[in-house]
Amino acid sequence: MNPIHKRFNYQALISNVRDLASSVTVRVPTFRGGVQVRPDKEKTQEMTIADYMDPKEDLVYPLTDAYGNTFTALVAVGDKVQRDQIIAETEEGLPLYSSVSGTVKDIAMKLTAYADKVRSIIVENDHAYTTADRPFTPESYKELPEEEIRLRIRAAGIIEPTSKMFLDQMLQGAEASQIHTVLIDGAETEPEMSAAYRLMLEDSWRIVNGIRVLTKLFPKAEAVLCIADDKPKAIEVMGDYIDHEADHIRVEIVRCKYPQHHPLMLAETVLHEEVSDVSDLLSHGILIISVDTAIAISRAVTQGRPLQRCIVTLSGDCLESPRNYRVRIGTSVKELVENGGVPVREAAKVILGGPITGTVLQDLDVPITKSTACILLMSEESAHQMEESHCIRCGRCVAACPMGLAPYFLEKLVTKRDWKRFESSGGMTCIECGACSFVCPARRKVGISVMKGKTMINERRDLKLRAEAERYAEARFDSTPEEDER
Amino acid sequence: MKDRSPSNYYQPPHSRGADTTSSIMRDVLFALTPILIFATVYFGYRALIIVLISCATAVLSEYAWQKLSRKRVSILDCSALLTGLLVAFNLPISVPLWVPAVGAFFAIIIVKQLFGGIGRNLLNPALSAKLMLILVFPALMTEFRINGIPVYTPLYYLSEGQFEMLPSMMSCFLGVVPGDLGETSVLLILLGGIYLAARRVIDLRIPLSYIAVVFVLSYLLKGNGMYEILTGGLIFAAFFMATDYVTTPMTGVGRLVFGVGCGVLTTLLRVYGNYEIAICASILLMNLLTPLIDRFIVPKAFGKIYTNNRLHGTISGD
Ligand code: SF4
Ligand code: SF4
Repeated sequence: MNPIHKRFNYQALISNVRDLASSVTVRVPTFRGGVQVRPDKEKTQEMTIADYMDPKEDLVYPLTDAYGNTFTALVAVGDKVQRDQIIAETEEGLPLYSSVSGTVKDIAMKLTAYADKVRSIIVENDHAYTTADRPFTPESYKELPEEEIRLRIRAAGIIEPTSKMFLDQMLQGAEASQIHTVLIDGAETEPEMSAAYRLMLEDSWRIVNGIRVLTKLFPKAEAVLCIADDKPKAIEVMGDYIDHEADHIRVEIVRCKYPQHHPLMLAETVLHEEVSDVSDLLSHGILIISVDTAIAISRAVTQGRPLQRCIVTLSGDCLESPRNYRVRIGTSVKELVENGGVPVREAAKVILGGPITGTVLQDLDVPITKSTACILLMSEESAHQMEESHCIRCGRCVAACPMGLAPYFLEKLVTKRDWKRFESSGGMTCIECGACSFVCPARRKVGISVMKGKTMINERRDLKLRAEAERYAEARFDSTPEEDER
Repeated sequence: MKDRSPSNYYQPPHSRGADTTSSIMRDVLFALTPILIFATVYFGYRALIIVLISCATAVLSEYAWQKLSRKRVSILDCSALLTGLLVAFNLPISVPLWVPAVGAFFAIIIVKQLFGGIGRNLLNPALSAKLMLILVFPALMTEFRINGIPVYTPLYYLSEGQFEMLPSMMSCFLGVVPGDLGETSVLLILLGGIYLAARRVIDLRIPLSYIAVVFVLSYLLKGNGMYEILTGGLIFAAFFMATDYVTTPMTGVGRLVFGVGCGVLTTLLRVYGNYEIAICASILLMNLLTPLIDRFIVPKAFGKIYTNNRLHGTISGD
């Protein structure tokens, strides 16, 4: 509840006028809808990435990842493992690596951030970091044949978080369609996150190298590195590293507006192609990767090293010095939180992900995975949520929705359980960005309702499909008594 | 109000935009303050008394209703206060002091709460109250007195076609003419409107299209556009009544349609009907059409919508 005397908000007025002025005077390409957010990145942007590469506690490698890939363990309890050794594999042979050397302590159910309990390999770190032999020698990508490059990328087990797929799967999908553009996502418009920004400043060379590898794989494609206009330094640094004559790489400046970093929005902004599903981008000839994937490609191809570390922004108003950390995949969130930075107040909520889309961690003892980008420690004061009140029909959610939906209406349909109209109004194309909930003055969690509607429809669809398949099977085959028993 | 219920506390987003329902209402109240000061100075302290009675009735009746029907009391969101102020701003200075009370009570209880409270009402509460008062007490609502002397408003001269009696355009713009409490000073209304537009509280599409259409149409039909928009509270209604969120469309195009519709109806009602109720009746009529507008004018979807999303398998085999 805001006291009445706080009526005049000069700062908000000034920033509104400034936004208005800048949107009129400076034409930076962007998409329709979206919201201006407070970036809250000043502190982490200024600090170099710190290493937290010597985890003391056991490392946990879940055998089912956040995107539903399941792995089969290749090691047994008691085995010695080395860094960069494959410890598990999917059915298609995509690898999961150990990020430390040590002993497999257990293969047991462990808590993760995305699912309750998942079978995981637990490795005790011996702090020696002996590296397993890799079949690849360090080499310049220019010398390597295309086949070898693909092999190296596949062997590195790189997962692309924006499309929730293995990079190898994406490259295979890309073969079928003519890729005309490779977009590299350096927009990073979710508040608090600054890992991509720091990487662009500190690892610029590797990023450009990774992009060059991709342009070698797709010689016809143009590579576009998209950077938001609130990162002038990154734009400058990356521009310096790109050899404008030899590379097919262009730096595109996009508006710092949430959710500009989303692949669909980038494709629209840069290529004016409106694709309503991330998995359709490839068939439209667009390949989108994030900045850290570009680095992972560079490491995989020129050094033959697999993906086994990631950059995590540890931020929030509970820390004295929020900062980006380079960590080994499998490190527990709790360990990083306890060792990274001095707490100035008690955290009421620990959030995995950004403040707009992140999920609350109730138990911190979960492993950092490839998809972890940000950990936020929020104090009681900043974490409080206002009670939802009636929708005042202000239309802000409609104006903010990047997918051109009417979130308030979809919410109503969800409460009415009118799934048919939910689908025909485009509810299924919601990208779950949370922009609508962010702007709602009545503090309604509109986006959450839309997501609920999506989940409900998907569940019903699964049920229906299953029932249909059963009916089909029954009509097709005479059921045998054994089958009936089962 | 803080909420620790798990379903809310643990769900994203964990940070929100700056505006809340009450901050928006306070912004509108803030934009109306200069007009209130002007009314008090120009019409005398009685204006303030009318405003106080109206606001107090609005807030108290909302409180009482919510207490009696055991709903959450939401008077702190300032929406009732705003409704009370708007009701008072639509009254002549000479009304008996029970009129603002009746108007505010009608606006809050009959128009707002009986329809389900904030966000659910179909009609603009303040305008409905004004229309009701005009229809039930026509004499009280159309009689204007300044210091006890009966005067005629510019709107009256306009409707009677006595153009030579009209005050100068400048005095209409500054507001030193007889009229309802809040509607006279075009200058201050515009200032408030610009403030609200800069704060992104109101969408300028509605007031601008409304005023433009009235200007052009009256020019074509009657030959004088300027007085039509400067008098009769048109600018006030366009900026503060026709922009009420609850009773106007949600999309930009829908709002444009709403503004144009208001403009056409207002001009036609003025030319072929009654000057007094032209503005309220046309806005209220468009309020009634708003659900229809929202149903047919929907935002343009991004990309293509697959009704049966082929990625998840089709249900009905399209
Ligand atoms: S969460 Fe969905 S409905 Fe809400 S703004 Fe984002 S895409 Fe639109
Ligand atoms: S932003 Fe909130 S209050 Fe405004 S229309 Fe959408 S749901 Fe309603």
